[in-house]
Amino acid sequence: MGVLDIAFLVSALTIAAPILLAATGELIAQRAGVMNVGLEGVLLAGAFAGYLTMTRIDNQALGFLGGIAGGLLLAALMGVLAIEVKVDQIVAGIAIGVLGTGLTSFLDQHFVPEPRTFTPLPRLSVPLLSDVPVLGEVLFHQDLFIYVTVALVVLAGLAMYRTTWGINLAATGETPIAADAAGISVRGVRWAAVLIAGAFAGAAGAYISIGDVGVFREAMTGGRGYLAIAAVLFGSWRLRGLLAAVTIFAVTDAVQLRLQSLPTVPGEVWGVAALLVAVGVARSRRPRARLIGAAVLLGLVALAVLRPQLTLPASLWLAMPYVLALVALAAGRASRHRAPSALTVPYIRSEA
Amino acid sequence: MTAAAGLIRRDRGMPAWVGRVVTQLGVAAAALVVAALLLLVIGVSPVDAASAFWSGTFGSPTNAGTTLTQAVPLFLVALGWIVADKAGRMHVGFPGQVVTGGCAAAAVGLHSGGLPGVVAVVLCALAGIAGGALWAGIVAWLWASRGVLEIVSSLLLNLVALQTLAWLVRGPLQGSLDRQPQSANFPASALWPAVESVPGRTLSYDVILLPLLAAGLIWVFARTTFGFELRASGGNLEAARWSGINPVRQGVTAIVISGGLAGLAGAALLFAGSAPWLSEGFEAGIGFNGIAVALLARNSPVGAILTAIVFSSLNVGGTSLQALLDVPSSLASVLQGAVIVLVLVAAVLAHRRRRAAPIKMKELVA
Repeated sequence: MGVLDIAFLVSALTIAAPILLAATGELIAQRAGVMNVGLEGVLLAGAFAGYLTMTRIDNQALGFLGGIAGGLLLAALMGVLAIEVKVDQIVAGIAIGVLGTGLTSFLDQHFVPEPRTFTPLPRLSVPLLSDVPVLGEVLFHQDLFIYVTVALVVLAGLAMYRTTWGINLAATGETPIAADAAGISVRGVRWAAVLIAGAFAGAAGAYISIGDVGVFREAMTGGRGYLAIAAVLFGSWRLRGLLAAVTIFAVTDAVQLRLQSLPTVPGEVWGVAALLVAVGVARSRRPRARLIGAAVLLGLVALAVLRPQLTLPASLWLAMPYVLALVALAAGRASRHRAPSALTVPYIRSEA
Repeated sequence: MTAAAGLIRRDRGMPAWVGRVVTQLGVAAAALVVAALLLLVIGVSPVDAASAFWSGTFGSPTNAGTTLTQAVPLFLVALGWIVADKAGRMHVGFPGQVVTGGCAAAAVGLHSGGLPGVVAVVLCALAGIAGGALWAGIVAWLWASRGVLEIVSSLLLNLVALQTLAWLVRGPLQGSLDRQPQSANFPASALWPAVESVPGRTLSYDVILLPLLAAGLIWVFARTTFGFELRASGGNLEAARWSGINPVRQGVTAIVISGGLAGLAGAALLFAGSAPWLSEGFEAGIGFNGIAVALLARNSPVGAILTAIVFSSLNVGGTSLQALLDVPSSLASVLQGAVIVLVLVAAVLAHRRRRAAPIKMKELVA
């Protein structure tokens, strides 16, 4: 398979897991009507709190708990601002982002002047299943965080689509007045959703610092929080769409990582891109979009066959996931119409 | 019903500005308390810190010049936020627009060595405006014709802009002799002129933009049709549509103008700053802090002059605190984040207290 081998798939999973967990939490919060644009800051808080715990008590379980606590702290601030004080959620999110970045680098410079490195999470093999060729190596020989993430996402899906709580959640985000009239505590549901989002993002942040690489650096989450928000929007506020979006982002990111070390762009990349576009064209219903898609497809197939000696500087590869997220959002079919109606709207009973 | 409540609220005339000043002072006091607490946590005496802070910011003409000059980019970004916010468009693409504006200005500046000074300065400024406006144009287009939330697209474009800058200073614009990731020094004729009498020539003439642009913006909003249409589309969408205003077009215009202002800020950072070359970190958080500057000024262009100077003194003073007392310079960004939170909370609390009375009137009307 050349470039796209087993190690590549493993790295894609490692990149996807924290984004997926943070995005799932954000999805829950947004379905309740609270949007936290400062998710990046929450991730950083989790990453730093986990790292700080590790420098004091060298225990990974406690490190992750510390990360979750850090995420909860900033999420609670978001909750106070958005649910209690009822300020503009977008501006509150900006504040959370600035605060998360500033506070983590301030505390890092002061409390951990000498950077330390810890061993990342060990990989665990699932007996029997990990012996399956390729798939076993990729899916069943991972660290605990990835298994837990999968379990949590499945649980979140069940909670959102198969329980009364999930219906209450959607009602709170769509028409809080109706939810309130039906006896659902709008405040309670929103707080629960915001705190779940904070805990998920905190754990994801801790994975980025102590779980995956074992160090903390200033602003090390590198825009993953923004990608998570983009995934929620691109997925039209549904778990299935979110999974597709995270997969695309993670694969691009992994390709980018791999290609940085290669002199030229290998033909497989064009082939995979062509495949993705083909799927998009097949699913699209608008004739104009199909025409454009078909043209792009032809170009990509030509590139895959001809294999020109193209090079792209590393920085531009790094920008790829973001560009792709933008293209995905632009191509999304009027996704804003599927947003929860009360997203970013505070609920004030006396004005309802 | 909300619109009616808005009308009633606006009716009370008397203590509006008094209340506003008191809130502002309260926010400043709370921010000082936060700063003092953080300093105590890391074991630095707040009194020592205050004197180091003063001497670093306004203690000498040289330092005062730096503080005022560095307020200009913050102020420009704040104006950008005010313009977009008045039209109801809340984008946060300022970091990206500052970066693209700076890159465009640098690209022009590096090649304008043979031109007379005035022409070069104007060309650089225009290139900066164009670079920022173009980048903001992407956000505007995505919002207007593809329905992408401007806040998300602008956040993603910020990251793309940063990577593009990283590529430019290593590739096409790389020009330092020791292969550092930065451009060559800008030709002296392209640098923006500074006041000669200030030692170190730290006070750039671009500080006249502070009063000029503030006055200009107030005039546009208060006296021109364009300003009215902009505000109308940021207010009641239905009302704007019924009076023949196209809110989408106004929104696009507002986003592009705010990008142009941010781009000019990028040019000012490079050509009126202390480091006359393009490097990876030249944006230095101006994009997000400019938003805080506008929020703290409650979207008033004149107030933004003052708050921009406050924020720039935080940045400049933070650097001198690090040099003198070994306080991490990120203290400034913590305070800036805290200020946004405090302003938000203060605004809502003040708003609530004022609303207590009119509720009875609402009942009377009903």
